[in-house]
Amino acid sequence: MTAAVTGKSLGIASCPVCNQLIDIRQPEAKASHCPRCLSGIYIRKPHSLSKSWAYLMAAFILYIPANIFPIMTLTSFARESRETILSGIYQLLVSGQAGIGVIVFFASIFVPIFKIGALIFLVLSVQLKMQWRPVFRTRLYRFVEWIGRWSMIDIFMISVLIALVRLKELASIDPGPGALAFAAVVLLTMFASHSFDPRLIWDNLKEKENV
Amino acid sequence: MEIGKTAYCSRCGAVLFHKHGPKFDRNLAFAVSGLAFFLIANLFPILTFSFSGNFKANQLIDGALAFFQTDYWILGVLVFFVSVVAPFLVLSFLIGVLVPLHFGKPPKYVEWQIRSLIKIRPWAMAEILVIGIMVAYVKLGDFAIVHAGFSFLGIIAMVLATVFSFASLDFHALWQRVEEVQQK
Repeated sequence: MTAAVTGKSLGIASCPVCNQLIDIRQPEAKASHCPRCLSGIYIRKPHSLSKSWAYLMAAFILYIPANIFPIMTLTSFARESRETILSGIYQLLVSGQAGIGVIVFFASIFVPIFKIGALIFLVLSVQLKMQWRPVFRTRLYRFVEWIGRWSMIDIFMISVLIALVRLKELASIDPGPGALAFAAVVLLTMFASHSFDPRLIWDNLKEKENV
Repeated sequence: MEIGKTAYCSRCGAVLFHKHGPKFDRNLAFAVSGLAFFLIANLFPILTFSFSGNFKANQLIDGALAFFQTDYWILGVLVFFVSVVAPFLVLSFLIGVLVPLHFGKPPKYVEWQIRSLIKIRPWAMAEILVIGIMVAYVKLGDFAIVHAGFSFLGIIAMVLATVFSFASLDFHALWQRVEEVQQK
């Protein structure tokens, strides 16, 4: 690995919003705002690791009620049937909708677990100053950033169902506490990945080179 | 850098910058059509549903409104923001910046508009809504007669137009153009 010249070593920050390069050793940069788009600037995201940990812990805890409690309840002729994330997927699979079932499984089960696991691994890898495959870890981070939003599928599905199936005693669908917990998991994991700064992966490598 | 070339991060290979050139007409055209499709998406039903002689249709806004009739109004706020407000704002800010530039005038509050645009973009989830609607369609199909409405196509068209309006948008060139126009 060739030692790259970094903005950090030169005292140059890149605006987190518009990517304008700013020489932060200049006295006029003391205001710490991007001259072009007026966002706050920093060499690395502030408190990146502790923020990521906080969001990840909260997401991890809420993932349990998200799966235990029903995400929605169908009431038809005074008969209630509750659906959790897993039972919804199971119903899609047994009713011959395997394709859609796989998509929902992917978005609602695989993505949240994968995301929480991958981010915990990334945060730990920075804290333990791991030297292992920085390119792979950076790509993993980009993938996590990209894929996280897709977990919202179930929330949108519920929003459509509760709007349509509202026929008084005949049939009605109501959201359940699982939906609230699940939406919180999606948001918290998105916040967690936004707060992680992938450049930290590379900072550790350089420290070792300098020793 | 020449027009059409791409710069990559020397460490991880991420695309840093792709040079598209100084014209934004194509981006503007797609953004305006995206906004037109957004209006269509709001005017007509997304799905229509009939069950034992009862007929129901839902519109884009109804997904968020339905949550307000339950204990989970906070989910209504979330769904309203990510499926209606954010996709609308993203297109509006883009048009708000590109229209004045097209006529060679400096856009108002341009820093604020572009910054908001970049920050809101990850929260505009219309493409995910499309998949959510498809899942709902399949689930309802088991016990009722469901049809896709005109607005379903409207949302898909809006998603595609938004993707195309950003696909060739070069923010670096955009800032340069803004600075050029401001100095005039």
